[in-house]
Amino acid sequence: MADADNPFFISKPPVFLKAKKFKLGVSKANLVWLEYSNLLLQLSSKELVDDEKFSKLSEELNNNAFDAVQSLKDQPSDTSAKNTALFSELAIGLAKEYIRTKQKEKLMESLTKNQVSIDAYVENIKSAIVTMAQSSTQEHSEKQQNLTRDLIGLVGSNEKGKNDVKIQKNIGDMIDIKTTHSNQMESLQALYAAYGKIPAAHEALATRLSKSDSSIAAINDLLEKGIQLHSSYEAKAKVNKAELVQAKADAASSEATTAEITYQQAKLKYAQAQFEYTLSQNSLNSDLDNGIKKKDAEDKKKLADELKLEADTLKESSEALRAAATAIQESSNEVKNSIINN
Amino acid sequence: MPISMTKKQEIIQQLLASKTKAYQAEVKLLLKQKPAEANEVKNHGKELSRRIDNLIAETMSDWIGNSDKLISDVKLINKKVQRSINDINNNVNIAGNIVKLVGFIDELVEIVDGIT
Repeated sequence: MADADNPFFISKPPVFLKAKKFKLGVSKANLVWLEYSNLLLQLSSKELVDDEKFSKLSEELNNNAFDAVQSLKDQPSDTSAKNTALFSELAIGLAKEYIRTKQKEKLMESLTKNQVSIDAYVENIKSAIVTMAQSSTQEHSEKQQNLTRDLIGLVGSNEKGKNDVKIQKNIGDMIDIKTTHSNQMESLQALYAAYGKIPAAHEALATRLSKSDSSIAAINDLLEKGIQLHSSYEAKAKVNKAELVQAKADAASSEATTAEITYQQAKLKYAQAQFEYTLSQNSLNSDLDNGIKKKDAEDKKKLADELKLEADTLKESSEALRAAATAIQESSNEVKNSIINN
Repeated sequence: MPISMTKKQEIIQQLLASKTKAYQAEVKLLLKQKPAEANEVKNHGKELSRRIDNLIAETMSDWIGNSDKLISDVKLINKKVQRSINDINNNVNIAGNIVKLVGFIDELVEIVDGIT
């Protein structure tokens, strides 16, 4: 059916509309990469298996184990105390080592498994950068040519020579366009080169990890550089990026708030169960031989203990989510600042 | 630094070079006071420019199509990495729970000690 005969025919959207969608896509791809490198950073972070947390555990275990030994012996000797401490430190050390090994294994596994996808991702982004460069050249050459035509017209009709204000303005505009275009090309070329380094850097991480406890800060630096360079590309893209980055931070904050509420609810449930258990225990104390009351108290204690464990776990995860949300907000502020400064 | 381009991008690159030449020719003709010839070159150059616009728009569409799949892939990877982090955290929690368990045993020992 010819276009003219088609009642549903719409003309092709202008290139700038397509370009807007395209830039939003590049922003999304950048964000998903930001999330990936943040997760890798978390997975490689020493804080995930925090030394402080383990020394606190070791201290608690020492106290508990030592009290247990002390209660079994009337005169605890220094030797038994030392042995107990040695045992608990060994146990905590082994637990920490086990978790650290698991952490390293998981990080290396992620790096190795994801290499192919990262290669494909980088090729895709590099291709987007080439299109951005071509689109920029196309746009600037049109503006440049219009100004050149105007300039020739002005030169042909002017009487004041090079002192003509219109000619001076025209030449100034041409210089501005050339400068803008050359800055964009420089940024895009640097961005292309920065992304080009990511696959090798990603691959090198797994190798370095097998040798020492290295950080992946370098890969994050590359990404940050990429985002900063990209943000300088065009004001329109800046707005979209800032909005997207903030949306990400808002989503993380809302997730943390939900987790905090869930934790508060679990804490309340635990407090109620603990109260019920205390009532049963009081009732049992006045009637120690009553089997039904004994069973009731035991059941309530079990439930209260289970709810406490659940509340503790929820507390930890809500704290972790809040910390992550704060980090994302800070990182989003940095990205937004870099957008404003560029 | 080697630059890799798709077939369409290579074509666009060539067309951009051709368009620049056409525009230079137009300027030379204008400077030589040949406006009619310059106008003809200008019109052909504009047509070429429109074709380039269309090709760039097509390249962007192709990219958007491909990138949706890639973005989903990386999102899936992110979920897996997050799961690994949760596993590690869970292992740390288990270590903490062992300490709590030792605490409970300690309480039991104290109770036994009080009875005997």
